[in-house]
Amino acid sequence: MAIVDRVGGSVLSSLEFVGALATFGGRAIVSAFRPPYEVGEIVRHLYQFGLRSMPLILTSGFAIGVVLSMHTRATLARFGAEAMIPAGLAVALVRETGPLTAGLLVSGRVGAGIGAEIGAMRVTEQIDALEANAVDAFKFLAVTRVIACMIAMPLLTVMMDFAGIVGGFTAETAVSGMSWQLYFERSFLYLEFSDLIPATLKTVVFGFLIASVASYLGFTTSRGTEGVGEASTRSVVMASILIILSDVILVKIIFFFYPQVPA
Amino acid sequence: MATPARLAGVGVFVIAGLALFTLGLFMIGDRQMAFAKKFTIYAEFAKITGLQPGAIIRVSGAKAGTVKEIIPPLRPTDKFKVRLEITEDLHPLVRTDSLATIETEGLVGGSFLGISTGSEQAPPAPENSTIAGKEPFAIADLLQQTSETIKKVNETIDDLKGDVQDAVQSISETVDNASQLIDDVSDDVKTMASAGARITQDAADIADSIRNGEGTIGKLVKDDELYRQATAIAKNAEQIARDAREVVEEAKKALNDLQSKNGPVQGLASNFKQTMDDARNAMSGFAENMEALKRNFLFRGFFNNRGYFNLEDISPAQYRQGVLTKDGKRGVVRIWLGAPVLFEPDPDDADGERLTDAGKMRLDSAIEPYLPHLGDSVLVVEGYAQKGTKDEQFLRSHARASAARSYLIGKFHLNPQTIAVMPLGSDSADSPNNTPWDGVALAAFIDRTALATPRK
Amino acid sequence: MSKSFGGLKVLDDITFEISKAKAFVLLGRSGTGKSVTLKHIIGLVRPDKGHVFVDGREITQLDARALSDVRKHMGFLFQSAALFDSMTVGDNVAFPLRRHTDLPDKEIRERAKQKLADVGLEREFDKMPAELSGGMKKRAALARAMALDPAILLVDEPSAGLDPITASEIDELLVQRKHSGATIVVVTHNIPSARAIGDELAVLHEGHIIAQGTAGDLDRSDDPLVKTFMRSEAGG
Repeated sequence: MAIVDRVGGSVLSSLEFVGALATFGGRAIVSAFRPPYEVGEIVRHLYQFGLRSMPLILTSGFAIGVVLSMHTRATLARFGAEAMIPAGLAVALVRETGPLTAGLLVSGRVGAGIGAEIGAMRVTEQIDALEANAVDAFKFLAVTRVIACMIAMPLLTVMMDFAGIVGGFTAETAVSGMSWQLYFERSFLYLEFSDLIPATLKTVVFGFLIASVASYLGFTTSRGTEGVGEASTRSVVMASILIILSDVILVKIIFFFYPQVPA
Repeated sequence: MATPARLAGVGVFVIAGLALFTLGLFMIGDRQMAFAKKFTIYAEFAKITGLQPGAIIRVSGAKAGTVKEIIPPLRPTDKFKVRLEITEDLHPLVRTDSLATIETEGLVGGSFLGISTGSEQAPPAPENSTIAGKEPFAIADLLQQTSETIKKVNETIDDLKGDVQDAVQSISETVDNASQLIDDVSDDVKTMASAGARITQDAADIADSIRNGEGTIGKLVKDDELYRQATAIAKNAEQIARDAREVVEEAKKALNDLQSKNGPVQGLASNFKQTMDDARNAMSGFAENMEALKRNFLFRGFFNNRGYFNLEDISPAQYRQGVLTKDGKRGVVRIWLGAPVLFEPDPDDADGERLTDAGKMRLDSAIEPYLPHLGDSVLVVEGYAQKGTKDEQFLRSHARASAARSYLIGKFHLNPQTIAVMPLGSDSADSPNNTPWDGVALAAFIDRTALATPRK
Repeated sequence: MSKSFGGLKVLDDITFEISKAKAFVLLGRSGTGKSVTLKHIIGLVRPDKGHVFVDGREITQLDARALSDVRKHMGFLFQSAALFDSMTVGDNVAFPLRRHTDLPDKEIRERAKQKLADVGLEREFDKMPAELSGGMKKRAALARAMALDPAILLVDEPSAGLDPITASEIDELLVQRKHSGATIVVVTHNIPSARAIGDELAVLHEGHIIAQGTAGDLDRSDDPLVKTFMRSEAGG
């Protein structure tokens, strides 16, 4: 019975969490369209989430490109299809590897930051202070972060894709001495608009999820400094899970609109 | 707060991201020729073989655009319609007679659509027009083409047959007219005429065989190499037919010269003989070619698969062992015909014999009951001779069987492939009353199933 | 007015009134619900039962926008100072001005500097809150709370954790505000400070107001709790 109670309880609390999160996210979307728009805050967060994430994203993207290139080379060389390496790598990067990896990296870097920052503001009464100053703390803190994250995500993804292609080129040119121009040209051999656009835009959803989850957990922080740490950790965990789960749905939706026929 | 430095940083970030995204869009657009001026045409295919929207189009190998849409047919008899967008730069190459083909890029590449350059005379394909699609390589289509070629050959041969007959007609007329003078060459003319008739017949038979044997040939013709060979054979046959026609023309001309009023008939005799020799040589060359054609592995395979032996390769010993009945599918029926009725001494050849008119009638009546079955079965003309030494017996039995065979082929238009001579000398087993037989026997190896259900 | 947190009844049907342009001091031991009471006044916490009137307007029934209007006329000094970590001290003080006035940025900076000078922190204008000591943070937060010269100033533990000199300086500042017409509500357990500022004092104990009146009234109270409390000069 105890087990049933506990399972039931955890199911219930999970549902509660999802419900609260959905409400929170919905509220964020609605209030994003109402003034004031807090442009200054959005710019500040864009700086934090975007520009400050670039070193992480570019380095990781480059490394992933190198690794993917080495793997695809091993496979494609077996069929004598080395000429397909750039195209295969670019398709893999643009369609999935780039968006998903960028999403997970950002959920680690930015999600943790948001969770901790808002959590700390909660426990040090800064959120109350905002409210006391007649500022909509939800909007000022959460909505601006959600918007900034939604803007930063696709841009970071494109950078990751590009860094990956550069990484792939570096690995390729080391082996075969292929020129950058040819490599870059070939990278786009099999890419379609329907690969680049939906895959890049779906990261807007990732951005929304990261910032919403982290903000929500930050806002609901209690129990002082310990609670801040927990908000930070849970932000990363929850955001990562939600990114991967939502990716399944998003890919399905993309396939619905752009059916993938095997060549 | 948004300090200037921070704003600049965000600006760099946003612009860099957007620039890279735009670059990606541009690269894809460039590949898809999204930004070039384009025109639309259609191509039709019965099968689209893995072609999909977005596939690259190449005009004479140059990247020219993409497949926009594949419109499925409404009825089974209709074709897939493929909408193509091709860059305007290459429009001059795409003519109304350009051909669209679905091709595969490399070993593991996807399908792309190739368009061949049209001819100078044809106008450029107008916007929204439809160009012909060449169906992907398929054995059935190949056979269709092959059989069309064969048909053409056959027609040529039919024409030729008429010509040969005319020639023979002329020759025999001439023979009558030129009586004594021509006596010297009449043998040649006759030989040539009969050879001509037989050759024509053989050629027609082979063409028929090819036409009817699609299934078997289909098995053999699996790749381009074999296809080329088949086509080459067909071409060869056409060439042979042309050669034959020339020979006949020449013979006619020679005869005309001979018949002309002004022609010094006397002096021409030697010329005429020379011409006839040439013609005969040419005819025998033609016959050799035909023989080679019959023996070509393609057709040999065809005949073997149909359960036939190359009858000419069967030795009398094998024949006696019963190779033709061994599989039990065929039963044998023999009609024994005696030499006294069939043959008379040949006035032109001291040792030779020729068929008598009575003998011909006897052959006609003997073969009559079996004619309905002969299409499917094998007829062996066995020759027997009791006089003289073993080799004399062999030669005579061969000559008798051959004479009978030639007569039967000529009279009943039998397939030469299915009628053989078998010189058996004095070895006349199974003869009526076991008497040593002198003459021929017609041995019909008839499919038992055909006998069981006689045709109506 | 009543309020419970997680089944624990913090405030049980308390009622009091604060006169305009006076200083009201709410006394009580730690954890008796003083801060919660203060947060009710500005609408950060809503009562389970009861009403809160500010200038005749029922705070608990207002929508976000109306509540925001009311708050623009209030200043709140949090117990933990609650300076915004992400901004400089100067920006913290300028924050209410930037949000709620149309003044040019230069003017705002001038005023923010003035407010910081009032609490003796003009040199800390460009520092980040993390670089300040606890007392300096408190003073900076007070500067922020007074940035808009609010008609009502809510102060939560102004002198907690401060040295006596700084504490009395802050008390002095509050008295000045009162003299310039502001209503001051102070929550503290520091009796000397309460005596210095307060026109009227109230003692909160176990969710009830057990005594209310001037400092003299309370000194004369018979309630042993109040007596003990008033005598513990240094506070608990």
